[in-house]
Amino acid sequence: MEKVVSNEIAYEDDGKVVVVRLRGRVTQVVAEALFDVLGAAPLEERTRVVMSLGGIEYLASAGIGALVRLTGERQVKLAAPSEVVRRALGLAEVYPLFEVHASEAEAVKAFAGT
Amino acid sequence: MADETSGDELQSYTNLDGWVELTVLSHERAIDLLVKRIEEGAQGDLEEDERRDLLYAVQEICENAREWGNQGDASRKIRVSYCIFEGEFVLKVQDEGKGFDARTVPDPTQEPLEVMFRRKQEGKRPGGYGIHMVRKLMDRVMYSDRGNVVLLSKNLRRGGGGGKSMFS
Repeated sequence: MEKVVSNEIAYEDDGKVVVVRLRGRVTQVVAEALFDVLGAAPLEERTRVVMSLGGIEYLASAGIGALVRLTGERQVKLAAPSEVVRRALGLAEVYPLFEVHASEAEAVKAFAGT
Repeated sequence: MADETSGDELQSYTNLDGWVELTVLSHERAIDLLVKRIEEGAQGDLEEDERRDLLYAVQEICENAREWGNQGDASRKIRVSYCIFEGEFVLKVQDEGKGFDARTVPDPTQEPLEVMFRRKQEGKRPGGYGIHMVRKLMDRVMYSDRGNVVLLSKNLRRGGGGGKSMFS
């Protein structure tokens, strides 16, 4: 069941993989809130994270940095990144850092084989 | 004075020579209003991809002005001026901070994971891509010696752009 944290952040946690959904404008404030959410119990223990990015309309530098830092700290897979996200990650030259899947289901499934 | 509007968060003034001057307080909502105003003002002069690139660059530079320049002090102001010349969009952003040396900003594309780790150790939030991306989106990015004023320009396809710059 989805837990809505704010207009921009929601997540689902099945105890093994947490799916974080980002929407709308991912600004500095949202990027910092993301770490607050993931840093609190029980999500702090989840090493497997799917970042679902299909609903993002604007991704600030801070949001890009958050995704990069998260990738360095946990096992992260991106799901369904919007055109805005793909363009921003491309401009920042970090797109190759990420494992990208077409959908949340595919990203979650990809963890099953690891 | 050709036009003047004023609200709680955004003041706008258009000079007779075509420069639009916008002043906002240093907070995210005000910057959103400012970007929206520029989008409205530039309508018709820019192609869709130029508009997208320009607005992203303005948003990033203004966020830098708010967070790093004005140190997150919402009572400080950000001043933006822009003018559309023949084939070129020119924009100036000024904050009320002490400035910085843009040449010292590390390239975030070199060892990005290491850069983010180092920023975390230094107590900085994730990021550092703004200036790098703005340099790719715009044709010219120039900082003042003090570093609290940045001048951006972008060549436009409409109006005979394509390399003919007022700065050439």
